[in-house]
Amino acid sequence: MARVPVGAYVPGDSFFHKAHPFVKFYWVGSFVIFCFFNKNPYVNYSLTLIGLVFVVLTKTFPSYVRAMVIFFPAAFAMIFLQSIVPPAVFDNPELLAEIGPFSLYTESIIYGMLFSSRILCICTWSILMLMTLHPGELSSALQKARVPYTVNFMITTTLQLIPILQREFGIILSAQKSRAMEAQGFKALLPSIIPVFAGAIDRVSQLSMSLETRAFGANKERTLLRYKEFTTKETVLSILSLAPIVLVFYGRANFNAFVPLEGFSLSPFAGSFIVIFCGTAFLSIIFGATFAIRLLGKK
Amino acid sequence: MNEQATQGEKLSSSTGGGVPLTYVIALVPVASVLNVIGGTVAGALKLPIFLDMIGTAVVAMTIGPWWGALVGVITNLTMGFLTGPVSIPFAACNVVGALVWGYGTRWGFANDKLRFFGLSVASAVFVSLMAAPIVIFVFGGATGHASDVLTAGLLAAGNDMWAAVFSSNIIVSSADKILSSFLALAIIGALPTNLQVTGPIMKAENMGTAVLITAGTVVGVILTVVSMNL
Repeated sequence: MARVPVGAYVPGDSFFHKAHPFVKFYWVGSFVIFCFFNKNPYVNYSLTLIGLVFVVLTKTFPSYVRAMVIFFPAAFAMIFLQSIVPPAVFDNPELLAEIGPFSLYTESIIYGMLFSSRILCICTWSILMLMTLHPGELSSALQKARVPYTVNFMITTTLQLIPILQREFGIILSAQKSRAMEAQGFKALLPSIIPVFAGAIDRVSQLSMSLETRAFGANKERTLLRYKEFTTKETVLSILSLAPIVLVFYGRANFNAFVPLEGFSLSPFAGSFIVIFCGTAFLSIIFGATFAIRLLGKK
Repeated sequence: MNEQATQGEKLSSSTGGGVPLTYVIALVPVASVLNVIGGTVAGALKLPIFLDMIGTAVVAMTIGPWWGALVGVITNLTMGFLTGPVSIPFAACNVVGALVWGYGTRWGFANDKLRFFGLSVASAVFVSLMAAPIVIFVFGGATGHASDVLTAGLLAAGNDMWAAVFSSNIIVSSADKILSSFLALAIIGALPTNLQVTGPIMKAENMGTAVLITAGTVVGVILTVVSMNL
C-alpha cells in the first residue's frame, strides 16, 4: 500500500473533520497572523499545547508526530543559532552566561524561542487542519474560491501523484539495494532517480492523452462530489476567526504584543540549559538520524 | 464542438509542431511532483542538497519561465497542503529559479556547456539571494536542514547572521542548482523535441562530468567563503 504522505488526510468523525474547509482556512490564517505579531513565545507555546489537545481529540496524533518530526530539528536549531549570536535588534542586552566561546544573552534566547514557538504553533494548527481536510473537499473549496479549473486540476493531480511516485521511488530503491548497488550518497543518485523520472515522463504522455480524449476544458464548470454548504453556523465561525487577529493587534497597541512590563528574564542556569539542550538535540537529530539509519539499514 | 476548440489550443514551439495545451497541463503537475520526489530522493540518499527544483528547471527551460514559476508555486503550495505552511514562503525561491532558467534559455544560455554552467551558477546565486531573507525573517536563520550546522559554524567564527546564512546557503545551493540543471537536461533529452518552446537546448551532458563540475564549483565556493572569513 502506498505510504500516506505526511500531513495527509486522516479519516475521522470529529468536529474538525466536519468543519467547512473555508472555516478551517480562516482559523489557521488567523493563527498565522497572531503568531507572527505576538512577541511572547510563551503565548505561542500555550497555543501549541491547546492545538496538541485537539490533535489528541481528533485521533490524529501518530500522523501529527510523523509530520512534526521535520520541524523539531528546525525549532531546536532556531533557538541554538539565535542564542550563540549577539542580539542585533536589542539595545543593552543582558549577558546571561558564557559557554566556551559563546556569550549567551537573555534577549537572544527569547528571540530564538519566539521563532521556534511561531513555527511549532503554526505547524501544529495547520497540520491539524490538513489531517482533517479531505482532498475532495479541498478541490471543491478551491473551485468555490474561483481558482481557475486548470490550476485546480494541477494542484489536485499533484496531490494525487505524490504518494504514487514516492511509492515508485521506494520500489526502485529497494530493487537497487537488492542488486547490491549503493543506496546512499551521490553514486546512488542516478540509478535511483532516472527510472522515477522516466516513469514520470511516460505518465505525462498518458495523462495528456486521457485529457484530450475526455475533452478537458470543454465544460468550465465541474460537478462536485463532496461539498459542504456554507451555512449561518459557518458564517459565525468565520467571523469569530477574526478574534485572534483583533486580539494580537490590540495587544501590540496596548500591551507591547504581550511582552511583560519588566521584560523577559531567565536564570543563567535555565538559559545555559536551554541552549545546550537545543544545540545537542539539533546536532543529535541531524547526525544521530544518519547514524541510526546507517546502523538499522545494515541490519 | 468544444472538444475541437480544446484540441486546437497549442503553444508555438521553436522546434516546430507546437505543444498541445493538454500536454502542458499534464506536464506541470508531474514536474511539481518531480520537485517533491527530488526532495524525497535527497533525503533518502542522505545528500546534503535539496533537489527540489528539477521539475521547475525542466518546465522553465522547455515551455517558458512563467510556466516554470507556476510549477514552483504549485510545488510549494502542495507541500504546504501536505506538511504545513513552512514550505510556502520558499515558493519565491522556486519562482526566482524558474525565471533565471527560463529567461536564460530564451536568451541562448542553454546552447553550449560554458554558458549553461554560467546559467546554473546564476540560478544558484539568485535563489540564495531570495532564500537568505526568507530564512532569516521567517525562520530566524534555521530551517532544520543539515546546512544549519554550517551556519552555526560560521556564526561561531564571528560572522553575523546574514553572512552566515547566505554563505551556508550559497554552498548548498551551488551544488544543488548545478546538479539540478544537468539532471533537468537529461530529462529534457527524453521529452519530445517539439516541447522546446523557449529555444534550442544543448544535449544532455554525461552525469559523471556534471558531478565533477558540481564538486569543483562547490570547492571553489567553499574556498571563497573561507578566504572571506580569514
